[in-house]
Amino acid sequence: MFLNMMFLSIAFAQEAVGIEKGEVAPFEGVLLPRELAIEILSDDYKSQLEEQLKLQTEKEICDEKLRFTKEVSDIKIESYEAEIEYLNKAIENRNKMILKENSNFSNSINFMGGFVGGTIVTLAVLWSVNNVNGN
Amino acid sequence: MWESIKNYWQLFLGFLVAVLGALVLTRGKNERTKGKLNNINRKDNKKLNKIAKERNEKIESAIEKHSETLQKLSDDEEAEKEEIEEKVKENKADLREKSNDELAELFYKGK
Repeated sequence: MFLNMMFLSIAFAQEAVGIEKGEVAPFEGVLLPRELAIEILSDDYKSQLEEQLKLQTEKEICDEKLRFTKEVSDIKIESYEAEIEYLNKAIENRNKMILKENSNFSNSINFMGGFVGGTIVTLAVLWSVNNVNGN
Repeated sequence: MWESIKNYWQLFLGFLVAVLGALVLTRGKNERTKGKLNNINRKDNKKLNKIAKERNEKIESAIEKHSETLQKLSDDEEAEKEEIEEKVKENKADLREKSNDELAELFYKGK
């Protein structure tokens, strides 16, 4: 690559011309064998293609990474939204249940029911005992 | 006298049993509420675990897909490199067919 650039820069310094074997060179400079010139031009062409491929591959990898990151983010967002929605419903249901279970009316009903039940049981027991004693 | 004391005791005992009954019922109700809450908690945990499991499965699938795509890109790159080698060979053959002046022109243009 270095040689390539060196020769190209030499070539660009003054217009390059093609000459035949034995012909007088039109100016002072560096004379390259035909095969070496072909190698240099071919290497330059190869470098260009490789650079293009490298850039294209890097772009495709970046695009793929972006697509992947977006896909994972979308999955997480969608999942967390579903979770939040469910948790909100769960909280709402609990609130309703707790309010229903702990309402004064409900507690009073239970307490009164227990009290009345206990009274009835006691009265029944006493009545039975009195009956037995009376007999 | 004894009869009236006995009646008082009976009244007191009746009241005591009634209060005890009320407390037992109220406590039983609280226990039922706790039981209901535990059931709801279990159901919620199950549902949340299901959501998390689905999320993990989707992410695993995305990772697998990503890995396959990267592998495909790598394979494509290798194939492209081989194509480049072919193109370079063709280019070299084209260059060999060119005259010295044409090669000099290519040097000048930096192509």
